[in-house]
Amino acid sequence: MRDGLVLGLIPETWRFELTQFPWVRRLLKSRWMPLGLILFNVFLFTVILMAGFFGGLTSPGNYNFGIMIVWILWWVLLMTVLVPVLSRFWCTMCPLPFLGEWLQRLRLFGVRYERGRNLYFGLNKRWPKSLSNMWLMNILFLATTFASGFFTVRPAATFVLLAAIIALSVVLSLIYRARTFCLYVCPVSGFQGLYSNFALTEVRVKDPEICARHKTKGCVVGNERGYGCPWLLLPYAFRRNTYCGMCFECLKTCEYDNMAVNLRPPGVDLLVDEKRGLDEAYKALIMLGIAVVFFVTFQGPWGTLKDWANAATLSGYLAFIGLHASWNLIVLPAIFLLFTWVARRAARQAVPLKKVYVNFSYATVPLGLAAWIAFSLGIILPNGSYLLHVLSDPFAWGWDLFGTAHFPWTPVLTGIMPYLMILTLLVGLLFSIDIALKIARQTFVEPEAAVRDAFPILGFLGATTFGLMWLFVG
Amino acid sequence: MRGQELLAVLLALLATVGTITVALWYDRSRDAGREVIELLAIQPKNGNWQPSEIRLERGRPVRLKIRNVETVSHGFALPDFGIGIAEIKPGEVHVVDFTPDRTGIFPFYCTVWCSNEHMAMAGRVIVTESVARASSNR
Amino acid sequence: MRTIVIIGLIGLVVSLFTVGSYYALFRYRTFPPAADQPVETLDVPYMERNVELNERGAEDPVWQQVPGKTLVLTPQVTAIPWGKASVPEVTVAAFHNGERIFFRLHWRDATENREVGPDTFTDACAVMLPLVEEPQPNTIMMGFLEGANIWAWKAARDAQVWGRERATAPAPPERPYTDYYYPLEEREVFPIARESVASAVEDLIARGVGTLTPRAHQRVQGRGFWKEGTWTVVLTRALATHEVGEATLPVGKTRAVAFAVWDGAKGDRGARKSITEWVRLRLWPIEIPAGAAGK
Repeated sequence: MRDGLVLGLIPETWRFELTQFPWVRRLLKSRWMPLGLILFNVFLFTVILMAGFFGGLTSPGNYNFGIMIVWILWWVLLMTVLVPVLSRFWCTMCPLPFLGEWLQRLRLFGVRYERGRNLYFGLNKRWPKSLSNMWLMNILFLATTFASGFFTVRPAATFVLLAAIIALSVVLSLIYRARTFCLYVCPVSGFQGLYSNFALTEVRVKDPEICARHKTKGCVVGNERGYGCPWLLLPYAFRRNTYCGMCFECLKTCEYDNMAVNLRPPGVDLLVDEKRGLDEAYKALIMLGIAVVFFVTFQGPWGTLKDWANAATLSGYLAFIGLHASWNLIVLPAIFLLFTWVARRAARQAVPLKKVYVNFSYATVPLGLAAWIAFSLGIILPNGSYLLHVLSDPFAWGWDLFGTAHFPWTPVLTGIMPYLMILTLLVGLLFSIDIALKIARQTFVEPEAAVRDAFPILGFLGATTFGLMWLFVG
Repeated sequence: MRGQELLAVLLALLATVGTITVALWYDRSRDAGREVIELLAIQPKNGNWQPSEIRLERGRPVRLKIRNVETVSHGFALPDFGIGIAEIKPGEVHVVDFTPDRTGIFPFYCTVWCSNEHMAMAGRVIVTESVARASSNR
Repeated sequence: MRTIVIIGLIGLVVSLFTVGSYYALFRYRTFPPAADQPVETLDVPYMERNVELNERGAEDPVWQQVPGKTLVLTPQVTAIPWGKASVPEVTVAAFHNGERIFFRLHWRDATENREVGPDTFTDACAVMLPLVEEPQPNTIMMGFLEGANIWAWKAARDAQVWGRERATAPAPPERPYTDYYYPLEEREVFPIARESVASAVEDLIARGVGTLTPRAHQRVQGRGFWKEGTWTVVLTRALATHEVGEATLPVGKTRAVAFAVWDGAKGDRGARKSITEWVRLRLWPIEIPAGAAGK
């Protein structure tokens, strides 16, 4: 596959500017965007929290609004549409940091701006440099999945998780500046960031020349039209989606209308060699690893494992945590290390092993995303019909708002589900191979030998794909 | 600007406090004029019906909200008042309205084979002339 | 000042979270498990006695000598149609003489209902013996899954079989006999009984709800008497078995049994009945007299 073309078809530099349409630009520059979306989600999550709050510890999940909307609808939407297509668009409208941000700004709609800077309430401290990466999010997300067996069956567990995220976001917003919580703590932020590198949309500068000449940089420090980048990026210079929360503040603050929202070919950010690190490599592997564990545990034929995860017994639960953690933190990274070590040996070049390891980890992102999409299909197709029930009776108080409270369980397309899953994985594999080959050319000095050098990695990707397929079909 | 800020705050309050208030008010208005008793269907080895004894007043309309809080199906039968629900699925809530028209002690049962102890899943409704209410789980 | 407000806000958020989580998690507490329901045991002692199927037999002094048991009845509400009214309890006594087993069922019933017809139902009782010796505990309706042998006594059949002998009441007039249950309700699962008037007790087998089938060979006998608001019914069968569908009654061992009672006046018929839980039926061994043992 030729460099510069995604899958040998679309130029990597291809962009389609969505903000060229005046109404899109007007919409994104309005301060009601994303506030309006956030307010709608505040309403939705109020209902979710209520359902979790009143749902108790033992109610099964399929009749709980909180569980159904969060883990069936939201999670699936996140994995299938929001992240792969719209990047961090969930962060755009996420209601969880709403309270924290309101307290920080003391404004919902307006902008507090005086003497060349935005005004914030709160201590506005800097987050420690040593924590300014994905490690904390890696650990927190993994720790959250320890309780995955509860979230889908115990409404109160979902309530506690969401309430904890909200409480933590408020506390951190009062102590640290801007969206520190979203950047470095939120458990679901990390994988959205990494997987957004694959996404079809981006917020970027239109003409870097304009920014180079422009000194005041309202996008960074803010002005009366908006806040300086809450995600602490330099909007005029960043090149990867990872930490861009798509809040559209820079579209509002830019005096030259030089920011754009673009459509682009998938996966191009994975090739950007900027601020790559072991934290993101681990994130990629943990996400792949968790997808495997979830499949084996919740959709596989091994009931014992599911009982372990649901904490039927304490020893079983501890065994689940132990296996889950060691698989994701040690075994899978070690397997990947073996393959990268072989790749480096085969290339016979003096590239540090860590660099080879980190670079190639980005090649697993499309496959990991595909595994999650496939897993999501396994959730939404059989269980989607429960949504009709919870819409009519959100708090399980015996309501029937839309007459669908007793709608029977109706699985959809489950007959062809395994084929859809396999197709998804194959598409993911295709993208992963494409990225792996390009990264080989980036990493090693002899670009001609890229196929040979990438061979062990292709082996890893292929083996993972077939392993996952075996899990679906078998 | 100021007007829009107020509107935003108003919408935020509506989305949170408003939602909660409306939900609670709607739920209450549905039950207006009735005594509401929440009955939890729980298999005997996990504690049996909660409450297992329901005290009612003759002639006073009552609404039972029977909630299955377990992962197995249950059912509900109060034979003396001709009330029965063939199946209450896990997590489901069924609402039963009736007015006890005579006094006495009337047993109620689970109607679905929920466990080996299914036959022991029973409770009783005690209907008296005047209020000597012990618990109305709400 | 701002710092104090911030610390206060943080404290508020943390306490709200703690209180909210506590309430959400412990709203539905795990209730203390109910004590294990004791399984009743009905002793079937060995008695060198025989009771006749007549009024004297029903009141025979032997029934005072055997340890009877009063069992709680509950309306059957697992299969449709459910029982409506309930007979609260039945007193059961039993013994064997090495060759036959005798049961005596005793329950209060204000009216004697010996006729079936449109909207008229007969009083009845039944003994159910699962075809396996140790079924799952408490699996009354589900016990059918492994098959059960049921001895169903009906007052209407009793009248047909014993009617001519009865001195107190004349035999019922000859007319078409309708032993199926009326009105046939939606979803009601009943067989139409095969006519057989050899015995007041029908010997049935079943495997699952709705499969009640009369056995080819009817070997159970029985007779009931209604006096002063009480039914007394005696049922008897040889201990030895001849076919697979017959419940075994191994002397010296314990097996399961359950009982059911129908109150015809209150519309009981078919699945509309009152039932007991499984009871352990302990058949005492045949005691060899001390003198005989030495020989």
